[in-house]
Amino acid sequence: MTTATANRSKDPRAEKKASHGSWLSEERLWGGGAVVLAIVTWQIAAVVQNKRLLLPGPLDVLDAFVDLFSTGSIWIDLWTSASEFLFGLGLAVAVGLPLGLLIGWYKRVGWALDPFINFLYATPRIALTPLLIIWLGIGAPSKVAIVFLMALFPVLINTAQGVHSLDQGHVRVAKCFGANDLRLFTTVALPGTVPFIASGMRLAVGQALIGVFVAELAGAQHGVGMMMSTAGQQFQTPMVFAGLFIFAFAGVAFTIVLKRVEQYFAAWKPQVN
Amino acid sequence: MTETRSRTTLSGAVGPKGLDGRTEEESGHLTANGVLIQYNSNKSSRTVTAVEDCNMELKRGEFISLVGPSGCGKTTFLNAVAGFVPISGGSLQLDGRNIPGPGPDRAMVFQQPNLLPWRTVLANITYGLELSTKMPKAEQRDRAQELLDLVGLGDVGHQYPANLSGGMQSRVNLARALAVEPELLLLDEPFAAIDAQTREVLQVELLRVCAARDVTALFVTHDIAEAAFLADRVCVFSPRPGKIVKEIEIPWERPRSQGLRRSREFLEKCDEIADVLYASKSAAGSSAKEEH
Repeated sequence: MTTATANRSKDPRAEKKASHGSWLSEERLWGGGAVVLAIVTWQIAAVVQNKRLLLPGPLDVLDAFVDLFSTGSIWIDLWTSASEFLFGLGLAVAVGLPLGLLIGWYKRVGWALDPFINFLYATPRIALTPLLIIWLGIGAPSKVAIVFLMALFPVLINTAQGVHSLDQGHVRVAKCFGANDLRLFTTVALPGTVPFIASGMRLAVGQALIGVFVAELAGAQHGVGMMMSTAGQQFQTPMVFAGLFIFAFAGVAFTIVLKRVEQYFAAWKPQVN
Repeated sequence: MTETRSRTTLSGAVGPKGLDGRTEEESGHLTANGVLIQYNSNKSSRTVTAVEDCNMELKRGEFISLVGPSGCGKTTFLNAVAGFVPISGGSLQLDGRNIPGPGPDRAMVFQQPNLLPWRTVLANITYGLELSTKMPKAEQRDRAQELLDLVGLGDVGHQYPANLSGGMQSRVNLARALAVEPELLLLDEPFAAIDAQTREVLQVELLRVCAARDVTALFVTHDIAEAAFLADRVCVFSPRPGKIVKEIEIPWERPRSQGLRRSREFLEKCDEIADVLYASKSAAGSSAKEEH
């Protein structure tokens, strides 16, 4: 009882930090332990099987990593993929965010664009890859376009959803104080939508990574996806695993960062603990 | 049918009824004269009359409660005063001018506190000032802190609303409405969602705050005791289409203390209101039967 009241008086941001505070929490211990166990099991399985071509162990993959980075051949692939990813994602946010706000705010815009969004959302957008390569060539523009298409919809739909699900009570309060449309938008609609935008971006990261990989598979000169594809054709299985881990780490890193951002902006949300 | 009937009443309307000769002292702050409020029902595309021939007068510094059965149009009337709902006939004036759209001169306190969850308590209170004035930030914060002290929550200014109890949120809501120093405070069952004990405390608090700030208030409720405890006058609404069937004076000086509730005279006042309320209800019931 006393702790509950004590917590009340504290800043909610501080409270959140406290609950995630120590590095060696029980949660992390279980998670870390499980990962170590999985890696050890994998290594044992690889040694027992003894077929590097089919199942390289974690040590083999580590070797591949060392190879990649010591020769320096990876840098151009990394740079190519990263720029495709960032440009595509950035463009998706730059377009999806304002468009989503418009769709949510002006219902007529929403009605007009709804059929197109539904169509594009329902189509596997990755299937547009051949078309985009015909139009934009094999270079960076087609890759960026695919990443953009993949990442656009999570951002757009989440943002529109956020504006849609605004609390009408808040809108009434703003109007009651004489807010015009612009002020209503900046003081109620936008802050209320931020958590939705942040989770939309988190979903977009995953989609964008798929976009990068598939776009490069369809034909490219450089890129991590391309590197994996070549390595696969040459049966350099550890190299394929290395590429896979690069994608995975990128995804995890971005998700963690965006989760932080989400938490920061949603510090006002009631805590469900 | 209803429409033509109300129109005729309208043309024959003769100003506010002389409320115990009070009209001579000063003209009303808020005057409602034969107010008619109709809207088109979405479901049946029929015109619904929510309020009909409603007359009342509210003076500066006065506190009036509107009480009536649920769905009688008392909230609709309040929304018309707030400027959310247009009136279809009669006149509704604040200081001799027709009510325009919503504005900060008529701050509204809703049943839900509706605090903006991403703003701290203090920033919630300054919200109205930010929207309606060009007051410097520091001054806004000073005033907000002053009001927060007034409603007895001086030390929670930096917290987010999610960390406050319902009663505390309700106090912040009141402070936010008072921050813009409204000509008229409109309260729409602000304590309906709050437990009975806290509600009684908040009622006394509201009266204290109103006295401290010399607030003019229009308070909508369905709770007879609440209406009587808070107001100088209680206006009793009939069932829909709502009109004020009787005004009852509550003689006690404001602010009032909790003890008043238990006094015999107070309970008698409540009985008087209840009698009017239930009489108008059963009358409407029988007339509705006749129509069929």
